[in-house]
Amino acid sequence: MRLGQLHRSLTFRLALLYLVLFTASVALLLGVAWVGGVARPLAAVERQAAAEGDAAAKTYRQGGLPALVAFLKAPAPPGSEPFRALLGPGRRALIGAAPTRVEPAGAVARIEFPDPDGSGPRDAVVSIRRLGPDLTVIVGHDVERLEERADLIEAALGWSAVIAPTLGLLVGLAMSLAVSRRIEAVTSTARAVMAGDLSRRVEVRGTGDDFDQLAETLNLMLARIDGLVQSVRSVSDHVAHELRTPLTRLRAELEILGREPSPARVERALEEAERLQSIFDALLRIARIEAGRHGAAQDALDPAALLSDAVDFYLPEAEAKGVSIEADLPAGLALRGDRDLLFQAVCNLLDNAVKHTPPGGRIRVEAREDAGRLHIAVADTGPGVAPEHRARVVERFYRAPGDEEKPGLGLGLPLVSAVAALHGGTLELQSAEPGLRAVLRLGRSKPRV
Amino acid sequence: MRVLVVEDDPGVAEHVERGLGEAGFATCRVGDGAAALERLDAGAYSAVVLDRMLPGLDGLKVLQTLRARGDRTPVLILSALGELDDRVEGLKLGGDDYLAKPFAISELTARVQALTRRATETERTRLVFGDLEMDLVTREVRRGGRRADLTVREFRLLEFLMRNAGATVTRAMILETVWGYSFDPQTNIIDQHVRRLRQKIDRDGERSLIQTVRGAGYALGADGG
Repeated sequence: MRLGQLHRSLTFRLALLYLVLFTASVALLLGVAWVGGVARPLAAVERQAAAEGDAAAKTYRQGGLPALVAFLKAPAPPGSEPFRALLGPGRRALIGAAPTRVEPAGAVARIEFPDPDGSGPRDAVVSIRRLGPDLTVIVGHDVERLEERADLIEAALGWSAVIAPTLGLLVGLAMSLAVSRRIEAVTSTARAVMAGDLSRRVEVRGTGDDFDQLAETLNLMLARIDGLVQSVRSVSDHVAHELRTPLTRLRAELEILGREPSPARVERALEEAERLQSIFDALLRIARIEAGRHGAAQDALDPAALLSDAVDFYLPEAEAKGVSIEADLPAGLALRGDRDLLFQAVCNLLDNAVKHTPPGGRIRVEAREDAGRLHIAVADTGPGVAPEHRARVVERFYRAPGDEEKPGLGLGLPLVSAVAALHGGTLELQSAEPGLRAVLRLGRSKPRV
Repeated sequence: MRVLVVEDDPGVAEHVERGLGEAGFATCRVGDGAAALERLDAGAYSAVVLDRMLPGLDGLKVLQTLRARGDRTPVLILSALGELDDRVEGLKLGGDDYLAKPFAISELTARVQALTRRATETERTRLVFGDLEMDLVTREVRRGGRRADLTVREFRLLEFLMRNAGATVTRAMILETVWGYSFDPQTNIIDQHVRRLRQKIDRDGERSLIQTVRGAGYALGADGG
């Protein structure tokens, strides 16, 4: 961040605001100290001095000079610092010290007098009463301490007026720089990712502060995007690869057909075109389901009816192969979802089961409700899928080793998995010991109304 | 029979027109929705092949307008694979059938044939094809007087084939009509059902009544009966 951009930095603006508030509160604090520690005591001293002046004058009128001297010489109450002086002819001090400077201040006066200890002049607030042509009594209080306090507060005010803005500016600057460095790290990562480097991640300092949390969240998001892009890439690589073979064969058939017409070749070319179309249809269907912008349709379904339809659909094929299908479908189950897609998903599971079960084998279809979710299981007595391949058979075009020769596109289970995800569910492959057991767990199944 | 083809893509339109022409339909082609409504207002068509995405007036709007003015001409909606609920939406607005692009031309012509047939068909209690008889009330099927025992599903499959006798029905159409699920099966499962049905109604040593139409589907004795 350049200095010219400082005023645009939120942190810097916050630091300035903080500085203003800080300065204002220091000023307020000092003001309160001034009023409570200086102004009010001074006013009290002034009132007291005036009262004492009246008392001294009264004492003189009633008792004459001896009474006044006794009044002036009386011990002061503890804790107070009285100033008492009696000036004779030529302003000579008869008692106390003569003021060196007098400033009238309303009913009372402020005087300066030499310190009895000799350490410079002191200030006092006094009441000066002329009792006769050559007799003046001065009574009041030493305010040197109050003065010192006032000086201290003034000095504090002065210093804070200089130090607070300087310190605030420096701290604001440091804070903006620190924050902007963290933000800069996020911005530059985002730019790098936008430019195509999906492997970039935001630096995490390990302090666990809010910037670290933000960085971790962003990194998770980037990892997810990266994963999606990778899978899209691998899918498009696969698609390109899978389409090349039928396209090459189609082209070859058409080239030969151009030279010598042959109905058998036309037939084969059409088959290749159909295969291509099947791959496209299946891929688009999976992609649409995965995109699932609108979520699944919410048809109210009877899972038992849907499953028995699917079993009924596959029964001739299974029987032709010498495979039996048994179904355990309790009544009273309910499900909301897309009827066509769920039927197709179950059909794909049955298709796999029939394809992989040897003659004499059994396929078992079950449905049950467990913890509010509908479980649909299709188990066969075929060779099953080795645990290390189970995660991959839901990838598009993946054929488990040994399956390459079996008919199919390798797009059946990916579709089942996509349909499950669209319905907030999962597809899980387990061992049926022996054989494969595919379990669809689907969203919330609601009680029938 | 005249079919109106509403399609803005010249390549697709030509393909559709040629396919329908080969199936014996006369075709008329327009490229946008307003022109389609004009044509439909002026003359009677047996069916409309309506593209979902059209310049100007959207295909579904055309369908809505058509139905709003009381025109019951059967409409087949064509749509690029887009939204999952395209089909449902199209049928709800009064479409009679739906086909997603890309489609095999045989699938399209089979569906248009079924639509025009459905429109002219009157309620019947008996279907007859040669010596094959189906009583829709007692649900009895006889071939040359011999009774055939069909399951419910087999009965519906044969009924569908008989109602469309002479015309091709595709595997997707069978799945839709007989099972009531809509998707392209992409498997030969339906072939197994047809094989069983054949075993029950065919006579030994004779050519099957249910013929396989390569690359398309099945037809009840296109050349027999």
